Amino acid sequence: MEVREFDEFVKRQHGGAVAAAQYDWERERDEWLAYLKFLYQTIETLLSKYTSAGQIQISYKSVELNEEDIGVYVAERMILRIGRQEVDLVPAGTRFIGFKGIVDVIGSAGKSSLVLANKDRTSAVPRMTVRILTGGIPPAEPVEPEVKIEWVWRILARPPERQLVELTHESFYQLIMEVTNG
Amino acid sequence: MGETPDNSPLFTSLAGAAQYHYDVVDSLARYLGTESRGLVSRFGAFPERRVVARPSDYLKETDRRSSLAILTSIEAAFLRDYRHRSHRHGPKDDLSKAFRAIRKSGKAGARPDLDPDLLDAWAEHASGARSLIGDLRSAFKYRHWLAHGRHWTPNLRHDYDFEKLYRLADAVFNALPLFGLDGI
Repeated sequence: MEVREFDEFVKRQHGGAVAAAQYDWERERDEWLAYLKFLYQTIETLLSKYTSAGQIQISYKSVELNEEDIGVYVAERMILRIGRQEVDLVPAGTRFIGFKGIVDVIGSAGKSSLVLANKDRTSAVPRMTVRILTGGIPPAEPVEPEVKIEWVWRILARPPERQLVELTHESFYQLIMEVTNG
Repeated sequence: MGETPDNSPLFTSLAGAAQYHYDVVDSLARYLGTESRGLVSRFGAFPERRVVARPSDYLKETDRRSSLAILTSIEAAFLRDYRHRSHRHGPKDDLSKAFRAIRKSGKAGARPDLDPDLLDAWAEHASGARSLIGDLRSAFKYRHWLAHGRHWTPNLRHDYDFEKLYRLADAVFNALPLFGLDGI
């Protein structure tokens, strides 16, 4: 190996580490946890008819997450008990491409996901443009104005589908039925 | 007779892999479902076949095996692209030139490693790919863990499962100009 190659390797790694260190990951984590709390409140509202009748019980337990650049932190998972069935809503984290957070919905018959997505998005595939450089110069691309993103919770359709489904009474009940084979 | 190139849509197509995975999950869930007599009683008459595992363990193991298949498909896509770009009459862009240099140097042998050989080149010669490349590096640490014994705790960006890897593959195949992706 040439010294130049090692120099470049160190430069690349150092540059990436500096950029990551400058980002406010603590704030990112706190925002994600606030959105998670909001999701649980929304679900409590969606199920209130059943919880007040004693047909569904909701409880919470702590879960430890460990994400790159953020480190170890504690979040809450939500447990829905419906008769003999149990559905766990387990936070997966915030460091995902295209989503500000993902919560796994796990039942006896399978898994699904709730995602924190840009309100304007309709597809699970993020809009990304990757260009190959020529002579060290990337092809010109239009500069898009920075827009404040409004984050909303959506149900992620099962692959290979790509839809992001609005979280409503109906869609959430359907989700519970799917993961429990109801 | 040896194996031949696998052109099955269950391997070469992301949608095919997803359909196969969820068909297996649904079948397994039905087989192990609460309406059946359950796993232990099902195997009760055959003690030698008794498995100390819960239905959720079966679903988790199925998820991991499908995850490995998706990661293998991603690796195959990058290697196909490498073969095309590194050909001496291949494209003239910086990435293709870097691939030809890898091939010429012979340091990576006939088949370079996805990480670091190919992903380093993508990170250096493609703009807008940084986050995808970072997630791919982490996902392939998970692949290493899956394929090589699972006896340590991998240091990952976050936890992975079939669906998260499927979404990563879908994003990669949509965003990166990989040669030979027809049908994926």
